Amino acid sequence: MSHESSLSQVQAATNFSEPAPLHATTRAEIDASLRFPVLLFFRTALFWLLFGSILCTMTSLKLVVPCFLDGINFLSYGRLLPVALDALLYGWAIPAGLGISLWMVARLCGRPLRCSKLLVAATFFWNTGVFLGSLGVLCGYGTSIPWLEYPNWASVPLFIAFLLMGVWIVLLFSARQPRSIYITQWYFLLGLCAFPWLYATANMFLTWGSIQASAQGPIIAWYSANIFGLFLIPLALGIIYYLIPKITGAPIYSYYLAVLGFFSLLLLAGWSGMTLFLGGPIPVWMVSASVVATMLMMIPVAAVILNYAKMLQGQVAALKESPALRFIAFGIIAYLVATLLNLAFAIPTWNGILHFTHYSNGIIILTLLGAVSMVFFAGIYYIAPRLFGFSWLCSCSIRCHFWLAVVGLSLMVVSMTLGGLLEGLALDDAAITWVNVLSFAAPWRWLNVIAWILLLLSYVSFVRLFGNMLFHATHPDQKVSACSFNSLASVS
Amino acid sequence: MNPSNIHHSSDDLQLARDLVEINHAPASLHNADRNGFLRPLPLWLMAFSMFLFFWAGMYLAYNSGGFKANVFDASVVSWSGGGSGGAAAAVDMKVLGKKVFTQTCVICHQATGLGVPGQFPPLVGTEWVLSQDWHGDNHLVKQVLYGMQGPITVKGLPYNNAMAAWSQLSDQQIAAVLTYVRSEWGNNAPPITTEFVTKVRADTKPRTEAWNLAEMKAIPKEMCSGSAAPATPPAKK
Repeated sequence: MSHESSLSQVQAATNFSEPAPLHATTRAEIDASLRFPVLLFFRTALFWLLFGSILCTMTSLKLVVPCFLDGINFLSYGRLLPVALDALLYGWAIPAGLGISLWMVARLCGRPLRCSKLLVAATFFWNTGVFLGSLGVLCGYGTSIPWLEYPNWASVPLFIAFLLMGVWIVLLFSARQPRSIYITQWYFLLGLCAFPWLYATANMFLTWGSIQASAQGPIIAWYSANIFGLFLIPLALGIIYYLIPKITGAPIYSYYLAVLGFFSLLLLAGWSGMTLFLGGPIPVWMVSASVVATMLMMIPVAAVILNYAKMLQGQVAALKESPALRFIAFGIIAYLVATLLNLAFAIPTWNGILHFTHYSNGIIILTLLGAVSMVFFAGIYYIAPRLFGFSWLCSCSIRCHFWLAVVGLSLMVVSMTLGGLLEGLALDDAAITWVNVLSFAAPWRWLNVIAWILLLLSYVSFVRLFGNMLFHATHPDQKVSACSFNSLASVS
Repeated sequence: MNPSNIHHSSDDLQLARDLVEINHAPASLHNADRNGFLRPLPLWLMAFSMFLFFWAGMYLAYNSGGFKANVFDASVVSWSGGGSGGAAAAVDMKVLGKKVFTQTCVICHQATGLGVPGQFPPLVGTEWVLSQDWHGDNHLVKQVLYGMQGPITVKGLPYNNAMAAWSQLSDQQIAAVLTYVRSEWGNNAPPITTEFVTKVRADTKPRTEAWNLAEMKAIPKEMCSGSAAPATPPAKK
């Protein structure tokens, strides 16, 4: 059949269906060149993850026990919360995502990294920016703009460092040896181009120069939605497109679905932030366009998740064996749930109830710690053993990490969204006073504290495991008592 | 997989499931798999997308506020973007009227509306403006449209001058300025609508020259709001 032969010619020429295979020596060369910078990314990211989640636990406790650490200026709620969330975003998520994409792009492009010193310097700059920014906010110089609380001088090292880090990935990409471009690379390039645009625009208009007040709200909404929708989520989707075929051995289910998913995301994601101002004082067309975009986001999400689900179909054995795949599966579910919650938030009549409750914060946490972070963990679980040269030391730490995170995140989402809904209904009732609404919502805030403690334990377990790996890599002859739960694990 | 084992040699890396590299090219797949990879989009997804796009269009039609930067409430602008929807799109006739008055009328009739004695007649409490006696709203509009010439009497005083024609103004501007004049300086007559000006202009279509008093008197009285609602309290009639 001529049709079939032309099809296989297309296949042979493009090789889209899965990440390209590489010769073992090339792989070893690439991994050797990436070992130090990528592990440095992971190490700093994990530090900020721990730092951010400790502060988040403290702030969630402050919401229910107001006298907790009261009277200390730099530990007041208004300063701790932005430092905690920004540490999770700028300290943890972005460097972790960059480290993973650096490794994957190098593998996909078949190129080792040259001149990694500049990249290491950029990592240093980036973390200096996060550190100085956090310090600035704690000392009371924060800007009060969501996700841009760092004083404006801290945004300069962050921006320059991102350009230095991003440019390495783009350089690797442009020097790629297999000329074909795999789906993962589309998403990475989208994310890497989006961040400088978003960050520079938002900082120019909000922290450096002050645009007229009526335009500030829309820019804040645009930035805080797109930092996820156009940057972190695409990185996570790209990572999933890389890992599922690699781990299961199954090719991409449908190439056209991937195309649809990518371009509809590119078209729609940028529009979807303005639902934050439903009923607010901005031109109504901006809000309506955003409502429409949020609803239409069902198309890219359906396309992507359908593709993933078909690839994961029947892979029960791999799901049981591979921690990376389990984290990915939970990340996909979190992405789906976050999308549906966003959708409910965009329905104008529902928004009237859900607005000004913890509901929208719940979506942000689910997106950041579920849809994005769980996939990044999967990436680290996949990549780190290749860089260390040995496998993960302890499976029960991984299990601890996974299940504590799953239970913690589920509790958190339930407490914030369901609690937010009930809180909103109570707020709508003119017969209930404000103070009564607060005490009515208190059990949900307590649930939130428990969820944060579980998440913190989960992250501690992962950081401890990663630390043991680092220790073992530098002291290979010493026996690592990595797994205190080993006996427990063998029983179960 | 036995993760508690520590693998030192690179061969051991192949043991763990996570560490498997995919070394087979797509050519090594079965034909069915390879062709499946280029499988068309599922029909239900296409139908679902089309439905969403249809809904999106309808939603924007009714809620976009005509994509105008100064519309903050979707309910005030009709779906076509025109202003027939209501308050925010409607022009405040008195504000527009004052603007037109200060641009066109104020030179003769003065900002006080009192005119210049012996030269330009006043507008305050005038039967011409308030449509009293034989004067109707139609006379007022016609006068503004084509001007006035020759001797007339206003509030019992004679004037002999010429008023310019203002037919170049839009119907809305004429309605606005007359509404303004009839509600300012203590005047209290009902507004003149744009539709009424349009009607009067259409009635007198071929005319271009100014009116005189005899011509005006020959035209029967017409009121803007119709006979059902008298324009002025019927005290004078």
